[in-house]
This record gives sequence, structure tokens and C-alpha cells, in this order.
Amino acid sequence: MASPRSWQGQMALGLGLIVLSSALCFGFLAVGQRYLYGNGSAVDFQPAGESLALSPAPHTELPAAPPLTESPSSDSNLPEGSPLQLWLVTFLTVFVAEMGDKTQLATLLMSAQSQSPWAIFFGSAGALVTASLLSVVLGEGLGQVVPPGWLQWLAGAGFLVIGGYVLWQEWWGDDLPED
Amino acid sequence: MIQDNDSRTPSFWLGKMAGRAALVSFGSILLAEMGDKTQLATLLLSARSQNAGVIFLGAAAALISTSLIGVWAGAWVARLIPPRWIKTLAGVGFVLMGLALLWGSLPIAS
Repeated sequence: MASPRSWQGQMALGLGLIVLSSALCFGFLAVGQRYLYGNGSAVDFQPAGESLALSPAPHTELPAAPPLTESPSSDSNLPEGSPLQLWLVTFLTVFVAEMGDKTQLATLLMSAQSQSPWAIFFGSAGALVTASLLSVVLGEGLGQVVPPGWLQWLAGAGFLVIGGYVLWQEWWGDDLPED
Repeated sequence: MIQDNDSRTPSFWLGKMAGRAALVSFGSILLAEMGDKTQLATLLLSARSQNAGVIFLGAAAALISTSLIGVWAGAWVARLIPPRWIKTLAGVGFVLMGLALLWGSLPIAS
């Protein structure tokens, strides 16, 4: 993981990771589209032939059901459309909002001053995925569970400690085995 | 920080440092990202939509991509600037970022 690579190799690996994650997301969407739109109704999981043979009466209204391309959440102000569009909207929103943000700057500084940028990448990506997973899972209850101000103060103190440690180690500290 | 294993091989120290770097970046970025505007946007999107899984996948892919770009840019910068300057710049940058997070209203913290 920490093996030295040329910058072409690093870029190829990064692009490969992006392509891999995108392929995973698209594959999930392609497989799970029907499940996501079925919204848990039992009609989707009933075998059609059996129901027609045994009890034809309760399912005569089945062809009148809304087609799969119609979004079930028509009352929200989200962009309507397929999960692919929703995925794309979320991706672009978060990507644009996060480019040049303090998290990306912290990642840049850490990977510049560290000898193992891929460890930094895995730590940072894991933290970001964990944070967004928490926000998705907890939903609206996050504000009551964790006061964000405390965490921001804690993170600020942590960055102060990291910066002080890096500066002290470089200018006044003893030589560590990494040098 | 722990100095009692000086007789180990350099590969041992590289692995040790990589694990420590991953832990440090995980902890600090998780703390800094909790309650950030991206997380609030993800929360709002997933609360209004019924496809929370899709929202999570989109946000996760975007965050992984941005951190990948950040890591790559950092490794590229590290090639151009001598290590002493990089360490100094990174230390000053971390201190400024910590101050901005503590202050809470500086434009870098946004």
C-alpha cells in the first residue's frame, strides 16, 4: 500500500478507483432499481402465474398501477426521475461543495507532509464515508444526538495539536527514523 | 512518538507510520466533517427522498473522489517543494485550520 509509485501510476490507480466506485454504484442501481421503486409493496414479489391461476379476482387492477418510471415521492421538491438522476444530483452537489473545502485542504496537507499518501487516502475516505453514512442513517435525529459545535471545537484543537507537532518535529525535534 | 523500538527495520517503521497516519487522518477528518455543510446537505437530501441508499452512494462517491484528488494533489505538491518547506507549510496550515475551526466564523472554515 505504501510502495513507491510514479505519479503516472498514482494517477492511473486513482482513476481506476473512481471508475470502480462508479461501476459499483451503477451496478447497484441497475440491479436494485425495481426494488427501490417497488417501495415494499407485496405485488412486486408475487409470482404472476400463480396469482392468475389461483385467485384472478384481486389482481385485475394490476395493469392500472403506476409505471415504474414514476417517482413515488411526488410531493417533495427533489428533482424527479430515476435513481440514476438522483445519484448524479447528489454526486455533483457534494462534489462541487467539497472541492477546495477544508477537508480536502487537510487531506492535501496531510498527504504532502506524509510519506504514505495512500494511508492518508484510506483514512480520509473512510472518515468521509462514515460521516455521510451517519448522516443518512440517523436522518433528522443527528442534531439531537451529537452537538456539532463540540465536534468542531474538538477537531480544531486536534488540528492545532497536529500542526504544532509537525512544526515542532521539523524545527526543534530530534531526528525520527523516517528522516 | 514511542521511541523504544529504534532497532526495527525501516519497513517496520513505514508500516507503523502508515497505520498511524491513517488513524490520525480518519479521526481528525471525521471530527471536522461532523456537522459540516456537506453532511447537512446529505441529511436533508436523504430525509426528503425515499431513496436514502442512492443518496448515500452519491455522497460517498463524491467524497471519495474529492479526497482522492486531494491526496493526489498533495503527493504532486510534495514532489515540487523541498521537504522542509512542506513540513513548515503543512504545520502552519494545520494551525490555521485549527484556529479557523475554533473561531468558527472565518471564511476558510465556511
